[in-house]
Amino acid sequence: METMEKIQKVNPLYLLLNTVGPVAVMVLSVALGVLLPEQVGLIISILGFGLAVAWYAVLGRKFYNKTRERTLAGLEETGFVPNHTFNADGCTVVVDLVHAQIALLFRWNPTKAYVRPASALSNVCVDDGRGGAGFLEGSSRVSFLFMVDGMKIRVNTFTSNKRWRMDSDYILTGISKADLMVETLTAAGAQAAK
Amino acid sequence: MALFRKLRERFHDDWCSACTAPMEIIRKQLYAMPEQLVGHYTAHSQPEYYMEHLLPVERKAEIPTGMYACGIIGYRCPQCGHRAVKLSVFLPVRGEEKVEQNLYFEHGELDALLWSPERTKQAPTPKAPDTMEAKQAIETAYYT
Repeated sequence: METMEKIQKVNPLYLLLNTVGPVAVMVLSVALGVLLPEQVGLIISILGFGLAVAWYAVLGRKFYNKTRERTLAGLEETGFVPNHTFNADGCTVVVDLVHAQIALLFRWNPTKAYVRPASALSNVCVDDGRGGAGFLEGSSRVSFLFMVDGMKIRVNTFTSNKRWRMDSDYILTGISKADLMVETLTAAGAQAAK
Repeated sequence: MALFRKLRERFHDDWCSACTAPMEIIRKQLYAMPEQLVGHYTAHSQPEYYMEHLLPVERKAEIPTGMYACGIIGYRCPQCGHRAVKLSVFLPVRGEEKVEQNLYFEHGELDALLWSPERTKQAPTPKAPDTMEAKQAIETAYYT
């Protein structure tokens, strides 16, 4: 069940298709719109342009979610028991407490799930992102971190584009989620060490 | 009414709703809510839910990480004898409390839970874990 393949956070082809692909479709449709007769060209350019915009707005995320679900379902078929699953923006962490393993799935490489024994994890901790002094003290990101195969993995439990007080509901929820995940990963690691 | 309730909740949760005299605390108990985990909180206002799903604990430290807790305070008015129960659901996080909801029961709905002798102490065990999502609060910054 364990895949010892080197962890790759980004699949360049997948990233390219997701970022540049829609632009290519947009350019192609506009080019066709110019080349083809008036009404047909107009319809094709509008459709292509709309598709590209929809991909960036909604479809890209939906496609990622579907791919992730398919990968996780495939993982379960191999006997992996997903006791805890944490979905963050950049990464999904799945903990199997039965076999003391963890699976990692990344935003820009969702077709592969990297399974490692929980004992391979080190430096598991919570980063509450505390910054500032006095009344400006707060955080805009709460995450939990760990090292696996010499690679640092940061999983955000809360992100924002502004700083929140440390006792705000958002931060407290983020810290609680991160604490829970750290506890789960530590428990899985202890179980693997037995 | 909701505004008055919120104000009372904020400043005078121990006032008698019948004669507005300060009530005395007759019972205080902390409970764990094994069904409610962080990221999966669902609000409930029916007393039956709390009758079924609360486990008494002695201290906050006994509540596992990520599990919601519930504090129940039983009040009695020394002037008119009116009784009320305040139920506060919160998430304990490193000594802080993230309060989710406060409920008041004034017709003895939770008496069986608070006063029943057969409710023995059981250690709270976390429910089967679930999927969690990261929470985001992206707000547009406006500059003038």
